[in-house]
Amino acid sequence: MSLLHCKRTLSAANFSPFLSRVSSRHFSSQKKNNYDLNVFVSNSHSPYFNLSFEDYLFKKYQSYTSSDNSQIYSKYLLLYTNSPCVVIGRNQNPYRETVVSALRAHSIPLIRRKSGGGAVFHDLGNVNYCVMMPNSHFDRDEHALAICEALQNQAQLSINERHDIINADGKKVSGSAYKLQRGKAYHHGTMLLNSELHVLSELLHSKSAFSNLQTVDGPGVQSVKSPVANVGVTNDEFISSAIKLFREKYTDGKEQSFKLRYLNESTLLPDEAAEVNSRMDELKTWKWTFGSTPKFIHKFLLQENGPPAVAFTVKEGEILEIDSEIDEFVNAREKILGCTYKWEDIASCIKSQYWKDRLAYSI
Amino acid sequence: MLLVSVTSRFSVLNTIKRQSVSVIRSSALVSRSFSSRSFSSRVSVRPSLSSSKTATSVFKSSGALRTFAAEPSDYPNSFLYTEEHEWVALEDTNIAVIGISSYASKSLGDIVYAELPAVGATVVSGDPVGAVESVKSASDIYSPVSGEIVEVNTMLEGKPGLINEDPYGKGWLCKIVLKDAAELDDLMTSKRYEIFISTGE
Repeated sequence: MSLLHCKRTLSAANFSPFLSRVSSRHFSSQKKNNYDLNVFVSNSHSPYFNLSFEDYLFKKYQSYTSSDNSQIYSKYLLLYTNSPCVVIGRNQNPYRETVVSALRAHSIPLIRRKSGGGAVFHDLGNVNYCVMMPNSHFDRDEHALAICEALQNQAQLSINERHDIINADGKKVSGSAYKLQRGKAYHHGTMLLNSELHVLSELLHSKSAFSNLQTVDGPGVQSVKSPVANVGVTNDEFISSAIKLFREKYTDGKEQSFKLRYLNESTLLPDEAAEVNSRMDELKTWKWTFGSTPKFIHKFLLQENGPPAVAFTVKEGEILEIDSEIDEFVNAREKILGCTYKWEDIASCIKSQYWKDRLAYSI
Repeated sequence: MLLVSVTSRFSVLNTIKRQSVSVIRSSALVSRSFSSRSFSSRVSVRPSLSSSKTATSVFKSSGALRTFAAEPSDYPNSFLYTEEHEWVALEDTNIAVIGISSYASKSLGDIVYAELPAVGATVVSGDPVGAVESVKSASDIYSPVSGEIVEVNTMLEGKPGLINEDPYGKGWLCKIVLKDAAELDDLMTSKRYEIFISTGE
């Protein structure tokens, strides 16, 4: 697809996945694509801070602003860069999507976000963008196309059928995810600029040691693995191009329709800091990251494609059932049932070093 | 070309809806339209299970899908609707069955996961009562009524796509014992909802 498509105009009524509560008649005089645009650039590299600020901003975001007799739609653009971390979708299973022991070994945080979609790797060579918009303007491609357009002098980018941004070789440079709420929605995406792609591959796609000796069954969203590439522009270049394009494309160019704010942990107002901090606390909990995984059965095999030697059924982070004919697990059954699904907790109920290692690798 | 995916899906469905002609129909659409029809001809409302069973059995036994061409409404008459596109049907005088409308399920695309509330939880009308994920999007679902969750559709655990296939039948989400039946007066009838969909008001 060529960049010509970037010129497509918004057609809210046709796209509307959920109509906004705000009646369209209030906005009949508003020219399409004229928004109040608020841009936020975080210079914190803490993934917990940035994702919590994003969540807080979405709560605060209102789809329109009122002044005197007129109302105007509002759009927010947030840009942030995280230190290395793996971020999984709201309804994903971390045991299926990542090698949890590899993340622990590298001290790379695993974070469950609030939006849908698959697992991604963030590092300092990746800039995340998030666009908040009225629910009635939600479109899965609109803002990814805007990002392509922002970089049109630096790279030839387009969108594939999975709503990802790809380069001229068809390799993925950006993945998208969305969240929809009453009256509002956001689209956020990664942008691989100068990311350590081999680390990404090791953490998300690796096959080693015991990884072929386990399966995870159950509902939940599975990631689609794609070949990835970097765009090769600097973070600052990307950020300034995106801001410039959004201002040109989505505002009337007047000063009052554009606001830009740089922020980090120390620049938040006290009430903002309180809201962001409480979200950070929640985001860091085991209960949210692992405990809110959709119900699943984790099976451990002794040989590839063989029958499971032990299988744990886990719901809301708690072991509901254990199936095994191995004496150790049979004998410890009563102790294990009801445990939280942490390898240390199960390991404390058994003696076999082999099984302790297996559990430590996979849980 | 890829760009068109979202738009074209809409325009195709809209065209089908407008013309009410069955040229090409997906099985999902057929089963939905059939269950809608059976609902709208009913007086008492027994939403989900009975009619969708009928739909499935007819669907299986009859190869001639086109016989279900006539589509009286995308929105069963006896149901009530919210601006956030949930529906409510009364199973008993005080038990409300909740789901999302065919409009919502079409707009969202293929639903790959449904997060349901806990049985026994109490909800307040307008509060989130669950969420669905489709095409990388997590979308909140809001409770149209207040009360206690007495049952959730566990079928959705393994087959969340039922919400797309049969949004008014097998794709129901949960059942709520009504705390205040007067809340139903605030919801839209199917006619009102249809106008809301087409005009946004």
